[in-house]
Amino acid sequence: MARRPENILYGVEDTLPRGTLLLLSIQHIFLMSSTLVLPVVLVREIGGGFDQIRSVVALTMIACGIGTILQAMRWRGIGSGFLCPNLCGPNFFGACAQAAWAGGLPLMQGMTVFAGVVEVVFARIAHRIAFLFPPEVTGLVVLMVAEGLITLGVSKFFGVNYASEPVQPLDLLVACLTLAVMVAVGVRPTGRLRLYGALIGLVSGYLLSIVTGILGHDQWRHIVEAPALALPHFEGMFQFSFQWSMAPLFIIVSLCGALKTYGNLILCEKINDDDWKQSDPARIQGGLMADGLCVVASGLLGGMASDTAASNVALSSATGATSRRIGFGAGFLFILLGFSPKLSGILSIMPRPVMGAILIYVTCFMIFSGLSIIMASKLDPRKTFSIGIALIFGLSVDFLPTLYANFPKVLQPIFSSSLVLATVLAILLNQSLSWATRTGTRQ
Amino acid sequence: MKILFSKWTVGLLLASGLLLLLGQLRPKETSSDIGDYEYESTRQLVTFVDKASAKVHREGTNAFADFRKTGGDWFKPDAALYLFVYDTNGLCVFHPVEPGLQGRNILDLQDIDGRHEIRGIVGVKSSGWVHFRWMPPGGIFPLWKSCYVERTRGPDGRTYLVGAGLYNMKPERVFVRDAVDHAVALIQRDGDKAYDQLRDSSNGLTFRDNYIFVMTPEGTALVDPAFPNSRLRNLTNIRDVDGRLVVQEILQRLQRQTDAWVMFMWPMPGDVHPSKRIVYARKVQLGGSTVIVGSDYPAPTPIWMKM
Repeated sequence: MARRPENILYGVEDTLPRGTLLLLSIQHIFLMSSTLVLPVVLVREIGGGFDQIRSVVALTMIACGIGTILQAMRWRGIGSGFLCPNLCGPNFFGACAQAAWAGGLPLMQGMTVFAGVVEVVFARIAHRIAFLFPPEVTGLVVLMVAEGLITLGVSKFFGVNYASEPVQPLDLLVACLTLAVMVAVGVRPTGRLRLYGALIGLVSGYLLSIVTGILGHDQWRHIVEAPALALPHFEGMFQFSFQWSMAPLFIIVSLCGALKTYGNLILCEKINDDDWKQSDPARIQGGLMADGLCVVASGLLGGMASDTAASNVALSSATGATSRRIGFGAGFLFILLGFSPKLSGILSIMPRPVMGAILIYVTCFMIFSGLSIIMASKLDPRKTFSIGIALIFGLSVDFLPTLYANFPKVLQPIFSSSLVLATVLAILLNQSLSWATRTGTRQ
Repeated sequence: MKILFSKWTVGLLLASGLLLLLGQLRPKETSSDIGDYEYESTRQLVTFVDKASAKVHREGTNAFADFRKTGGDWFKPDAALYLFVYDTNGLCVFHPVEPGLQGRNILDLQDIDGRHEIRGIVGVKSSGWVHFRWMPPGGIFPLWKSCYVERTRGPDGRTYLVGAGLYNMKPERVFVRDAVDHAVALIQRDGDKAYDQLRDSSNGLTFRDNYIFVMTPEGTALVDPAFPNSRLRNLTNIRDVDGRLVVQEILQRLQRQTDAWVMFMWPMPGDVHPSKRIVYARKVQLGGSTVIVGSDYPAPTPIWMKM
C-alpha cells in the first residue's frame, strides 16, 4: 500500500474542483507545447508550406493528447494510471528529420508507426531485457540524443541554414535575447514564474521578431486568415512508406523513448509513494504500452513521434498535484487545440532564432539529465571504459563523418548515426566487460 | 513616485528602448524577388546587383567612382566581390579588378572550356544568371563563377549590363530551371538540330556537374550526357543508390503534368556518400512528337543534417 507524501495536495486518484483542474491542465499544456517547435522545424526544412506545417503541428498535438489520456488510464493493460503527459519527442527528431529528408512525410510516418510497434513489443518483453540498459547506458543514450540536437539548435541560433552561409546578425541578436530571457526566468531560485521559462522566452522571441521584421506581415496574414476551428489535414497524409536501411536507427530511438518513459514512470511512482522500494511491473508495462500506442497514433495521423515528458512529471511533483485527472484534462485540451488552426498556426510561424534559442534551452536540460543519470550510477573502471569508449566512437561519427564511409553497406546504419553507434557499443561493452569481470572474480 | 522607479518600470522602459532600437535594424526591402533562392549568399548577391543597377540607372557612369572604392560597399577584394558593367555590344565599361579591359570590346572572350561568357552576359534580357570558369583575383587556376546580371538604362540613354559574381556558388533550383527552359527554347527553335549544341559542354547551359538530357517518352536517350555519341540507350531501368527507378518516376509524372521535380540519391563528385539530388524535367512538343528535356542539381542540404 502506497504512503502518500505530505507535499502532495492532490494524489493520483483524487478528484479536483473544476476550476483548479482547468488551471492545472493549462499549466501542463504550456510545458507540453515547448517542443512543438520540432515538427515546425522538420516540415519547414523539407520545404513544407504553412498549411502543411500547421497540420503536422496540429496532428502532433492530437496524438500527444491521446497519449496523455491513454497514460492516465488503466484499462486492459494500457496506461500506468499516472499523470505523465506526452510531448513531441526530441529524441525522435533526428531520426524523423532524416526520414522526412530522404523520403518525405510518408517515410517519416511509416517509420514512426514502425517505431511505435517496436515500443509496444518492448513493453511486452521489457522485464526480460532490462539488464541490457543499466542506468549508465540509459544516461549515455539521453546524452547522445541531446548531442544530436546541438547542430540544429546552434545553426538556427546563428541564422545559418547551409554550410558556408553568412551569419545573420539580426537573427543572432534575437536568439541571444530570447535565450537570455529563458535563462533569466529559469535561474530564479523561487517563485512559480520559473515554471514558465520556455513560454515567457517564446513570447519574448515572437515580440522581438515582430519588431525586427523577422516575422513579417505575410506570416501573420496566414494566422488571420486561418479558421478558428477546422479538421487538420494535408495532401497525402495517409500515405506511408518504409525503408529497411532506416530501421536500426528507428529501433534505437524507439528504445531510447521507451527507456525515458521507463524512467519517468519510476519517477511517478516515487513521488506518489513515500514507501517506494521497487517498481510495479504491471504499471510500467501498461505505461510503456500507452507510450508505444501514442507513437503509432502519431505516425498514423501524420504527426511527429511523441514521448513522455520528464518536465511535466517534475512539474506535478513541484506543484503537489499528481492526480491523473489532470492528465485527462491536459490531454483533452491539447486535442482541442489541435483542431484550432489559428492557435496551432501561431506555433507554425515560429521564427528561426526563437527555434534556435528554445532548442538550446531544452538541450541544456537533456544534457544535464543524461550526465546526472550516468554519474548517479557509481562509476567504476568497468563502467568508465564501457561508457567512455562508446562516447568517443559515437562522437567520432559526427566529428569525422567520412571515416566510416567504406564500411560494408550492411553495417552503415550503425556507423552513420552517433546515437546508434554509441548505444550499440555501450551495450556490447557493458555486457562483455561484466562477463569478463565476473569470470575474473570466480578465478 | 515610488512606482515610477520600481524595477518593473525601469525594466519596461529598457525593453521599450531595445525594441525601438531593433526596429531601426530592420533590413531594407529590395525590389527583386529573392524568395526563389535557397541560399542566403545568392540572395545577398542578387540584392547587391539590384542596388548597383538602380544606382547606374540614377547616376549613370558617375556611379563607377563609388563602385571602385576598395573596401567600400561595392568593392570587397577580400571576398572577391566586385561589380562589372558592359554595354550591349560587349564593350567593357567598368571593371575594377582588371582595368585594362575597360574600353575594349571582349564579346568573343572565352573561358577555359570555350564558353562565351560575355555573350552570355550581353544576352541577358532583363535579369539572369551566367555561369563560366574564371580566374579569381590573384588566383592561378580558374574556378566556377556564377554572375547575376541586370539590364538597365542610364540617364545618358545607354543600356548597361550591370553584374557581379561569386566563385564556387552552390547550385540553385533557379539555375537548373533556367538551363532546362533555355534548352527547351533551343529545341523549339532549331528542332533536333539543337541536340548537337546541347551535347557541347561549352553551350553555357552546363554548370559544374549538371548536364542537359533529352529523351523520348519511352525513355530512349536522344541527348545522353554519359555517352555523347550514343543515341540509343534506354534509361528506364536506371536506379539510384536506394533502388528507386528515377527515369520511370519522371516519365510517370510527366504523363499527368508538363513538368516535374523528382528526387533521387547519388554520390556527389569526389564523395562516396550518396546525396540528395533533384532532377527537373519538362515535356516538349516537337512537331508531331514529344521529347522530355531535363537536368539535375544537388538539393540544398541543411548544415545540421547528418546524411
